[in-house]
Amino acid sequence: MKEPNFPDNGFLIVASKSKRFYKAAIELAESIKLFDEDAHITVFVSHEEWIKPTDYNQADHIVHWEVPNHIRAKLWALGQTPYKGITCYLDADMQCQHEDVIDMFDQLPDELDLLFTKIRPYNAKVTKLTNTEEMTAHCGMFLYRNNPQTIALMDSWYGEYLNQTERTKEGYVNEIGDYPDDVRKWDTFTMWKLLTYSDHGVVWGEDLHVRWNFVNGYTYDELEDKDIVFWHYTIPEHEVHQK
Amino acid sequence: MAKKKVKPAKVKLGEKEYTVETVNEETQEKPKPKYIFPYWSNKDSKHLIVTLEYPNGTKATASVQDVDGANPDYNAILEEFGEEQIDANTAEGVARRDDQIKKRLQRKESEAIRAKQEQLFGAKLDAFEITAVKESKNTNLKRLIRKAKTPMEVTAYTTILLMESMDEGT
Repeated sequence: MKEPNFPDNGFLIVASKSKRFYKAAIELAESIKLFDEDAHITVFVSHEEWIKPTDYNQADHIVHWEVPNHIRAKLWALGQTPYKGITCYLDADMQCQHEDVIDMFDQLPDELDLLFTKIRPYNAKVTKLTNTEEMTAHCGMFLYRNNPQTIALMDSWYGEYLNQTERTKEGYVNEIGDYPDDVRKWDTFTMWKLLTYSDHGVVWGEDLHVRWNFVNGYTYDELEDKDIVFWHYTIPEHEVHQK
Repeated sequence: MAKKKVKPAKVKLGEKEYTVETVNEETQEKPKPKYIFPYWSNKDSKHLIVTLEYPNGTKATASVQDVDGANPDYNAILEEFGEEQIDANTAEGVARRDDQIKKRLQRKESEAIRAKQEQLFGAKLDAFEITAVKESKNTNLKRLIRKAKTPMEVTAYTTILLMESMDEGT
C-alpha cells in the first residue's frame, strides 16, 4: 500500500544477496537526503531482518515482500516502481555528493521514456560484442517513465536475464546467438539485446551527462568542469561476502 | 683455392649398401626466407629491420645493413619491396609504436586516477563511519565532506565537525 503523500517521482535502490549491499543502499539514501531532504526514496530489500527502524530516517519506503534473493533482484524491482511519474534507478554502490540532485528528474526530456549515461569503454570490462555491435548504455543508473511500454520493457529485462543465465549440468539452456558466454552474466547485455532487437516501443537515449553517474576510474575531463552528483564506486568483493 | 669435390660415400645398412651424395659448402643451398614487412631502422645508413619467415614456418627478426653495397639480403629486399613501400612500412610502424606508447601511458594514467579516486572515496566512507559525523546535525559540514575533492579536504572538514561536536559536549 502506498503512503498518502507518495510523490510522482522518486529514487529506487535495490539490495539483495548480501547485507553489505543493503548497508550501501541506506548510506546512498542518506547521502541523497543530505542534499535534498525532500527526495523520496524507495529501497527494495530481499531480507526483512536486515531492516533497522532507523533506516526509515533515510529511506521513505522499504519493500521486502516477495523481493527475490537474486543477484539481479534489481530487474525484478524496476517494474514494481511505486512512482507514477519518473523513477531514478540507482545501483546501491553509489553516493550523492551535490545539491544539483534536486534537478535529477528534470534530466529526462519529455520525449524520452528511458535515459542512460554512456558506458566509457576504457573503464568497462566488456563493451564490444562483435565488430559491429557494442553495448553503450550504462545500466547502473538511469531514469525511466512509468508507462506501459517502459514497464513492459523492465519486466522483460528480468525474464530475459533469467533465460540467458539458465543452466543445467550440461550447460546453458538457451542460445544467445554468436555472442560469447562471458556476456551472459551482464544485465547490460540483456538490455542491449532488448533495445536492439525487440519491438518495445520505448523511446530511449543514452546521453545523460556523466556527472549523474560518475564511475570510479572515469577521467575528470569527462565532467567538462561540472561537479559530480552521483559517484559510482565498487564495494570490494571481500566485504560483499562478509557475514 | 678451389675446394675439393667430395666423393660419394658408401654406407652399409644391414645387408644393403647405399651411396650417399654429400654436398660441399659452396653448393649447399640454405633455405631461402621470405621477407616480411621491412622498414628502415636508419635510412641514411641503409639499415633495415625485416622479419624473416623460413619454409618451416619459423620467424626471426633480422637487422640488415648494407655497408659496402654488396649485402645480398639488402639488395633482395630493396628489389622486392622498393624504397617507397619500405618508407610506407616505416611510417606505419612508427604510428603503431606511437599508438602503443600512448595506450600504455593512458592505461597507467587511468590506473593512477582510479587509485586516487578510491583513496578519496575511502576517506569519505571512513569519515561517515565516525558516529559523531554520522549523527551530526551540521548539514553544511556533512555536505562539505561529501563534496570534498581531496582526502585532505575530507580530513579537514571532518576535524572541524568533530571539534564542533566536542565543544557541544563540554
